[in-house]
Amino acid sequence: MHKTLPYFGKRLAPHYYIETIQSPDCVQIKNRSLISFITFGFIFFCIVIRLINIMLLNGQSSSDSLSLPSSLIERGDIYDRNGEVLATSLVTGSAYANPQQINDVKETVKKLISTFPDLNEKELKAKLSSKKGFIWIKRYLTPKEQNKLNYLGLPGIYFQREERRVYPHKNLTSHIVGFTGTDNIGLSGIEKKFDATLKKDQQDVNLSLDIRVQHVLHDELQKGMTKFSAKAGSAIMLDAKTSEIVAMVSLPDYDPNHPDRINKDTSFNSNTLGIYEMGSILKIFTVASALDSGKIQLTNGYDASEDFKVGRHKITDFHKKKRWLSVPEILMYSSNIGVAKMALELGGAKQKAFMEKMGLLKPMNIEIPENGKPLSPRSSWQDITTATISYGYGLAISPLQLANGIGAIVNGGVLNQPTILKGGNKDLPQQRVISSRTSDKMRKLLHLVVKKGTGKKSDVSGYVVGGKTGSANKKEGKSYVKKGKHRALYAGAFPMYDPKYIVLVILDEPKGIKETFGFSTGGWTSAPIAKEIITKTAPILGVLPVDEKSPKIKSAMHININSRKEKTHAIG
Amino acid sequence: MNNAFLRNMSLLGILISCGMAFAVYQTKNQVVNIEKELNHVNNNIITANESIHTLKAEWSYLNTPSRLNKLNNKFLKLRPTAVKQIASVKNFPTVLASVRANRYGKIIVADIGKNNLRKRG
Repeated sequence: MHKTLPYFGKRLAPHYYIETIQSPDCVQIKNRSLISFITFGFIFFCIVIRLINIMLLNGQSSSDSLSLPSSLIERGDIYDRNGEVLATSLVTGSAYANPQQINDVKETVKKLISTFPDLNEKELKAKLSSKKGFIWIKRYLTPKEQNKLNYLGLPGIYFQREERRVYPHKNLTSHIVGFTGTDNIGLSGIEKKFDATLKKDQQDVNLSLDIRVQHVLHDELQKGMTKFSAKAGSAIMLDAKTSEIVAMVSLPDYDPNHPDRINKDTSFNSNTLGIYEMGSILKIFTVASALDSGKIQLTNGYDASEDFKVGRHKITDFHKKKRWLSVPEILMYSSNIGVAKMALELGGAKQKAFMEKMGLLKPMNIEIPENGKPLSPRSSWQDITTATISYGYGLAISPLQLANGIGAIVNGGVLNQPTILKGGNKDLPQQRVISSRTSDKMRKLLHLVVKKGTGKKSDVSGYVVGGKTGSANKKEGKSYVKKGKHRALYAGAFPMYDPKYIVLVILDEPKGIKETFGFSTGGWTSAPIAKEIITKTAPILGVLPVDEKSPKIKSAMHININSRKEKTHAIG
Repeated sequence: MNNAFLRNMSLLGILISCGMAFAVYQTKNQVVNIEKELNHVNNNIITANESIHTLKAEWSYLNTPSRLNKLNNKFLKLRPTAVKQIASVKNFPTVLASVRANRYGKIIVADIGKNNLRKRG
């Protein structure tokens, strides 16, 4: 049976469709729209691709406009350990003129001179009358000066913005921070050493200095120099455990804000560049090496009743005792004869090896570019050399090297790299130079020197000071100057039961005064300065005073003098 | 129907493109304005940074120890801390701690020395 489906039959009538689609009008429209569709589709596709490219793959072009435009200030700052600004840069205006735009030269010069009296009138007139298009009038004006100049309303005079280095503390850190030239290039000190870091990387540098301690050292050293009419002076405060330089002063100094006024004398950094024979202070090293060798004990001693002859040389004592002296007594009375005999018993080779270990025969590894090279005998050390080096002649080192060496002797026996950067220098590992037992003995010995020996004037009861004095005759040409011209030195540490800080004071050519009975040795001149420094800086550095008579401190500092004459003298 | 449809579509297209052109113009205009603002803000940042530098330098200068020392000598006359001025709590006599308040709430120190305490029983 056939059933027709009327709906399908009608709907699918083929002629109906064919007729509609195949009408010529429709074909044309269809083709056109197809072409335009493809064209537009292609264009949009291109745009989409380009957009993806810009937005997703190639993002930098947009981030450029978002980054901060660079400021005129490029150089990084220098800070002390507490974040106090030691060197920074400011944008200042420099006045320049276009002479071609100046009609009334006379009037302009008159007004400029009245505002800036330090300008040279003749020079200025000549400059302004020239036919150049650009001349400097005055560089680096203060905002006040800029205002004044603006107020004059002179035509043809303009400002150029420039970066200028400023040192708010002026002379206080001159030799350490250094200074920069007109083009902001570091010319000395940290400014020179870290020029690339400060300028290219625009990074700040944090120093280990404490500006408050630096001020105390500066102030006290200056006072001491004036009091004893000394030519120059150096003072160092060093962290005994990390060898970070907390303060370092070299006088005379300069104001880094005015590099043009610096001369040869003021620019000299005696603490790192100066190389000196340190006199009696070197006895610390002689005794330490002798005790550490195990060959010589605290109970040993040497006959110092007569002058000691080594070859053609005669070694004498300044504080003559004319008797047998024990090792503690030798250090107490600073006996040249005693240490010379001690050094000879130990031998020159051992002495040289010890000095080498202490890093005293080669330049230091320090961030300050002005670094001196120690002077030591080139050939093998003869007996006379060994004898004189034992009490500080024949080997010349820098004060910072001396302070760092003493740090190693008292801190438990490890030598650190001295550093001016906060956090210490960890490039080179600590190096053990003496045993902790020897270091302990040396602490007691140095405390003894301050309590009973030549260092009495540096004693601050409560801070358990230990130290050694010295006076080194200066050389003129090849021979030593006997009278008047010497360096007075003091090196100490506190508190001696666990030394935290090393103090070094050196005066160049101090003169004796009435108060010191005409004496100008280290014990009379440098030691009192060190005392003032310790008294004033210990509270700043957080070193608490202790009761020196308490059993704990007494037993920690107890030492037997082993004297054959003064048997009862024991300290502690 | 076809012609009408196509006409409507083109009209719609023109309208859309006009709208988009206007939107693009608006966006562009806004970007220009924002960029101006950005420049302005950037300049402000630079000026502020420079001021900070200046102020830091000035602050550091005002804190120069020698200057503070001078001011101290003029106005405060403080002296460096002496050793005897520093003491630790451990070293204080224990009796000092017996402190009581009277009935008005005012704190009074009862005793200072051991002897004193013994006398009172």
